Amino acid sequence: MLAAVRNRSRDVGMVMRASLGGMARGYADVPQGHKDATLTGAAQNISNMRRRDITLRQDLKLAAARSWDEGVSSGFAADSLASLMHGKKIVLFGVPGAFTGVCSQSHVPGYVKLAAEFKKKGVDDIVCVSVNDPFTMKAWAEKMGVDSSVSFYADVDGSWTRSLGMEKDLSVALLGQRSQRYAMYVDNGIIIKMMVEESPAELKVTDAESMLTAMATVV
Amino acid sequence: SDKPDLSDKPLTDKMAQVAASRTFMALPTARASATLKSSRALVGRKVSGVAPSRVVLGRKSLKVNALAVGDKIPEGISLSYFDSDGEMASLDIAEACAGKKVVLFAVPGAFTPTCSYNHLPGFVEKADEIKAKGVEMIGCVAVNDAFVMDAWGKSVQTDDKVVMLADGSAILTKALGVELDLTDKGLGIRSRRYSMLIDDGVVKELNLEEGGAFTISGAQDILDALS
Repeated sequence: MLAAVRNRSRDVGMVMRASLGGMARGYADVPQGHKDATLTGAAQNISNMRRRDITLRQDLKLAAARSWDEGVSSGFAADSLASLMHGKKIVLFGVPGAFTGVCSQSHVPGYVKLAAEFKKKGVDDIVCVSVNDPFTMKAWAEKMGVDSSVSFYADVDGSWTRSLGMEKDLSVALLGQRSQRYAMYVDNGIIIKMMVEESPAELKVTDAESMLTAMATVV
Repeated sequence: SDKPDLSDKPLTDKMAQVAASRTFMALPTARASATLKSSRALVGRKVSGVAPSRVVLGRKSLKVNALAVGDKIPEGISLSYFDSDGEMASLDIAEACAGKKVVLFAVPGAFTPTCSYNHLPGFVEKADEIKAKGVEMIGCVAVNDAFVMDAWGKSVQTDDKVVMLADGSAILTKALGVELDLTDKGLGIRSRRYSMLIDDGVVKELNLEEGGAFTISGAQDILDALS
């Protein structure tokens, strides 16, 4: 039967497949795990551990949560990623929206409670990012009574979220283009660990305890 | 090649009329300009009832001129809000205005000072007086999501006197032609400040500010217009 295949076709692929004993392995086979992946290209790059310094993206800016007067006096300036991440170890987690249930009740308070633990592990800052405006983030932080243990930053136009591949259309929840729920450990601009929830309403792998466990596995 | 002669006024009017007579659907385009950005929220949306005279049909864009007294509130637009039970609900604005008097006022942004300290509290104070003059609903519109509007309303203590309506994707704002670009302040596309009295879906009184200024759109002006 193999001889018949070889005689019938000059196709290189067919010949290779025949020589491999019939295993259908093409020239550039995509691993099954990647075929099943629902992550976007940017997220797959991160998950493939292509460790690039994300502070190189100087076009991405995050606006620190502030009141209107502070905004006016600062000229509504936004911070670059380098100012957030350069020379520091930070834990950054993204939430779908300010004032929404899981974010206010479980996600943020979890990080506030374990802030001291993170400090012990050498984390300089804990940052919470959402696709909102900075004044809403400030009001949300005040409402939750968060002190300086967690900093709040606003991804005003969603550019930071899109650069990670974390954008999600939450129009069904009448929220519009927002973010997935994710958490990452960033060392000097390089994402070392990143976890993303399967659904933004869940809180299984991106809470503070899971992040501490994940950090413990970092060599 | 000859450029088409667009100086023929009836033809242009007819184009606008055909485009906006019942429903209009703007074409998507890759060019990013202020006009196109402002009309992108309406791409793919069926919004009817916008008067043809207010719609400016460009070659690849569609812009709506600002609202004026006598215009009808466009149909097919719903805003989300949290009702008194704390459940998220949706309100079709044209249906809500049908057959009754409604006062709508818009603010550029929740949690910004003029809105929080002057505009919204003014309407909360005068809400009972306004409703005594036959107004069934007072709505506050902003380009924010329903969660933020709900939290803002609670922080200002509206006591459910004012319905906090969320125009999250600026659909209503752009259909009325009252959008305001505040991206340099970190806010994005927002709404101009206005207050209006709508009677059976027709705008009877309109106090539309240029931007975010707070001069003519307060509660007292609406009260004066009602009496």
